[in-house]
Formats: sequence, structure tokens, C-alpha cells
Amino acid sequence: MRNRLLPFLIALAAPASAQTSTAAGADSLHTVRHEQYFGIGRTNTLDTYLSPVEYVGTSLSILHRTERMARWGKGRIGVQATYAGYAAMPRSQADDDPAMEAGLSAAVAWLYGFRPVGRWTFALGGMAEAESGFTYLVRGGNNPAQGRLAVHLGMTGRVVRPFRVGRQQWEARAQVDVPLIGAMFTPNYGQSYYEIFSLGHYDKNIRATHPWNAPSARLTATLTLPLWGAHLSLGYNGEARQSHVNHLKHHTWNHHFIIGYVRTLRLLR
Amino acid sequence: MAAVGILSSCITEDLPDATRQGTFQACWKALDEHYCFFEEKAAAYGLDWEAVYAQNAPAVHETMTDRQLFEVLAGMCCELRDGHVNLYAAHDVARYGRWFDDYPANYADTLERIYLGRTEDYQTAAGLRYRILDDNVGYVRCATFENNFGSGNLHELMRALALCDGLIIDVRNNGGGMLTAAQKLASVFLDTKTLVGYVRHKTGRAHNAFSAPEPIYIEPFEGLRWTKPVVILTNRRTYSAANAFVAYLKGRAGVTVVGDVTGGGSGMPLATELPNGWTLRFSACPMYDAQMRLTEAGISPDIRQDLAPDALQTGRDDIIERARTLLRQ
Repeated sequence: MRNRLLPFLIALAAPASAQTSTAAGADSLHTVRHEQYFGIGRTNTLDTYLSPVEYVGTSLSILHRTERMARWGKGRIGVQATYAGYAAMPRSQADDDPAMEAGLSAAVAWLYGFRPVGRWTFALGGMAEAESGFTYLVRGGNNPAQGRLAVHLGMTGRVVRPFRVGRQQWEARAQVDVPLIGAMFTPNYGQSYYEIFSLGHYDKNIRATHPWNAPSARLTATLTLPLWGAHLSLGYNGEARQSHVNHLKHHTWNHHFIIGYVRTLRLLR
Repeated sequence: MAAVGILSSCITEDLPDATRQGTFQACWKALDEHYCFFEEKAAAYGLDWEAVYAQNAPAVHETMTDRQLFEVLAGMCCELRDGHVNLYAAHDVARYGRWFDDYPANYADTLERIYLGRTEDYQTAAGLRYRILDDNVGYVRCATFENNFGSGNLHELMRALALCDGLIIDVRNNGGGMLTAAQKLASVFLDTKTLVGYVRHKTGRAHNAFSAPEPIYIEPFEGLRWTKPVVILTNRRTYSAANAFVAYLKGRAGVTVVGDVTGGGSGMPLATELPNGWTLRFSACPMYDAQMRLTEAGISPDIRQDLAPDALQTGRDDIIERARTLLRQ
């Protein structure tokens, strides 16, 4: 019987408001917020295992966020899942063969929503993230590519400010995700992948990360407005993934203009 | 605040500009920080890398052409006397030619054609060309390790040569390729899991910053063992992965190495890039034989044998003939 009463979804083009993240935890009404973005921008990448030269170029990205209230936390804890990916073919200053660069990440965050201050709503919490990616240079022989694999625990913070423009309800939103501690895979300074994977030689290939050796962050700032019955969202997504371990330096800086939509689903039980 | 903190913690590399002087500096520095045989070369012939810098830096100026800069950098690279050190520009590849040129060729494709015969006389599998010579000796020409051998290829090859009294593996002029290919071919001749060498890598920028040597083992080939005599043919251009192949098998029961000293190349090369777009390749990971001896300078054969000066006129490959004589005994 209970199964029959299990969630059925009513997709609403309801305004995406701060209420969705803090006050929707009513006993029978659960709100799920979906954000989907597509981005275009610039990637700057450096990996000294492959080359000391920075590669810069246009990149494309995708970002998806889903948020709902936790079953626990008295309606103040939001659970957020974030999936992001990007791909680029940046070039060096010498403009020879391009590199190929791509990355994927998945994160889950738990955000505590503070009581609103005026129309400002703040949330702060922790997150766990897994990240992978690669850089490939056609010029390399035994070191043509570098793979990346990392897991982090970190902090995330968000501020939301709804406001009216004429008769329309708009929303400005910014979120910062900062990995704090974690672990990452990396070859040692002059170690080849042949040695790691063909011979199975381990030499500090899993390293602990922290803000001093892997200062990284993601900033997402968006403006959501109603448009033709839907909710258009546009803004900026900036991501800095960096590390300096085993005397190897890596950075990927992404600056993307993002555009997408926000959808709020109310789950009735 | 966090974003501000991140912005103030940008991780970047201090790379010189793509000027003549910047490219020279980057080339010298890349080798200084990554090349793996400074100590061995200093002991062998007194290489002083700081002195090489002092000697070459004054020759670099911003009005020189690309080719002139290339000439200076190529000269600097040649001071390392290493066949794995190369500078790749659009117009040329810098390499240390004396590494090979000071030795006899000891190989001629004209002779190879005589021994292998016409196309229909020999078979080929995964790049290995093979036939049975008229004294029932199997001859396998392995010209490269650039491609990995399939297990099926090696099974078929060994099945075809199974009734031979002995086997010749000719790795002359084999410039190397994949170590995994060399290991797979070597595995046919090993009876048990065998320690065949050691490898280490740089752990930092200092000339002596290395990891501890790690052993390299080869598992025997699955379902197949060659237990009859084997002769490996070598010359100075038996290099890199082919040199490793010789190192894996030399001294094993039933294996004899005939020909000239190999070319060495026991530093696995990695590559990097200079600010002007040129690619620099260098020895990065030293490899050793099972007795922890460095084989960078080459491996001496068990039996030294050169081609006769008139080999092309007589059509006789004395290195192959020496191997056949050994296998008939």
C-alpha cells in the first residue's frame, strides 16, 4: 500500500527560490532542484610530467546539480550531488600539435541552511568528491599522457539572493566548493607508467593532498530568471584544480560561461 | 575567502620565454633536472654539465637563426654521448651519431635478403620474419620491438620452428621499441619466473636523486618453452628495448650472444618540450641487468664476430654462419 503512495513527481516550472533549499523539508512535501548547465570558455593546463609549457584553448563543459532535503536534519540539511565534466584541445604558445584534455568529477555535499538574513540565505557544509581526468600530448614517447585520479573531502558554501525584477522573481546564487584533504594518484618525478602498471612498482604514487600542495576550488555563480514558462539560468563557472606533489606541478584552470535551466520537482508522499 | 586563497596559490612553472636564450636555458635545465646518467658519464669521460653550460651559453644570441640555435643545442646534447638524447625540430633531429658510427655496421639488408630468401620463402608473424635454413636451424629476424607480439603469433612461429635443432634470433639493427614486446619474446626462452634486471627512476631534480632499484621479473610464456640452443645476433645498432632483450637472456642456459657489442640505451627515455616548440628526448630511468650492472654502454657478445669486408661480394653473413656453426656442434 505504501508503495502505491511512494513518490510521484509533479514537474513544476516553479521559481527556483531560496525556499527550495531550506524550507521545503515539510513532512509531506519534498522538493528536488535540478540544475543543468552547458559551458564554453577557456582552459589553461600545465602538467610538468609531460611538459613545462602551459597549454591554453577553448573548452566545453557540462555541469549538473541536484539538491533535495535530507530525511534527517529537521529540514535544514540539503543534500546536493554535483556532476561535472569538461574537454579541451588546448595549444601551446608555439602552436604545434594540440593537447587533449578532459576531466570528470562527481561530488556529494551536505549543506546546513542558516536562517535567512533579510533576503539572503546562506548555507555551509561538507562535501566528498571524486575526480578523474587526463592530458595527452602527441609528442611524448614513453610519457605521452598523464592520468589523474583523486578523492577529496572539503567544504562548500552557498549564498542565495532572490529578488524581483518587475513582476518576475529572479534569483542570484553563488557556490564555492573547496577540497581540503584527500588523496591523489600521481607518478613519481621521473617514473614511467610502464614501471607503475607493467612492472607494478609503487613509489609514492598515492599522495595525501591538502590546501598547501593541492589548492583547488570551484566557484559557480548564476542568475536564474523565468523565461517563456521555464527557468533560464546563466552565469560563470570557474574551476582551479592544482597540485604540486612528487616535484610535479599540475594545474587546470577553467573559466566558463554557463547557460542552462533550473527545474524544481515536488515530491508528494 | 576560499577563492581568494586559491587565487593567491596558483601553481605555475617558471619557464623562460621562447627567445633564443630562453630556449637554451630551458634545454639545459630540462636535462639538468631529468637526465639520469650524469654520474656515470662523469666517471666515464669527465662530463661536467655546468662546464657544458658555460661553454655553450655565450654562443647563443637573439639574432641567430633557428638552425644556428639548433646547432648549438644539438652540440650541447651530444656532450651526453647518449643515443636516447634527441632534439626534434621541424628541419632535423639531433642525435649522437658517433654512438653508432664508430663501430662497424655488421649488418646488411642485402645479406638478410639472401638468407631469408624471396617473399614466398619465409613467413612473417607480428613483424617477425622467419624460415628454416637448410641445416635445420630456425632463423628469426626481429627488426623492431615497436609492436607487441600476440601470443597466437608466437605460438604459431614456434610451432613452425619446433623441429629445428636450434634457433637464431637476429636483433641486429633493432633500434628497440616496447619493453613489453622484448619481455614477451624473451619469455619464450625462460623456464620459470626469472629476475632479469632492475629499474629505478629519478625522484627529484638532483643528479643523484633516485629511487631504490626495483626488480624486473619475466613470467614464462604460457604453454610454450624453447629449450633447445638459441643464438642471439647483435651489432652496435641493437639498441634500447633490443639491448634489454639481450640483457634479459645473456648468460641463461642454452643462450649464446654472437656479433658485436650492443648499443646500450638502458635509460628509458621520456620527452619534454622547449618553449619554442621543439621536443627534447632524454634518458630518464636507468635499467640494469640481473647482476645490477648498467648496460648503457652496451653488452659485449659471448662470441665476437664481424662481417667480412667482402661480405656483400660473397653474399656470406659471417655472423649468421658463426651462429649456425655453433648450433650444429
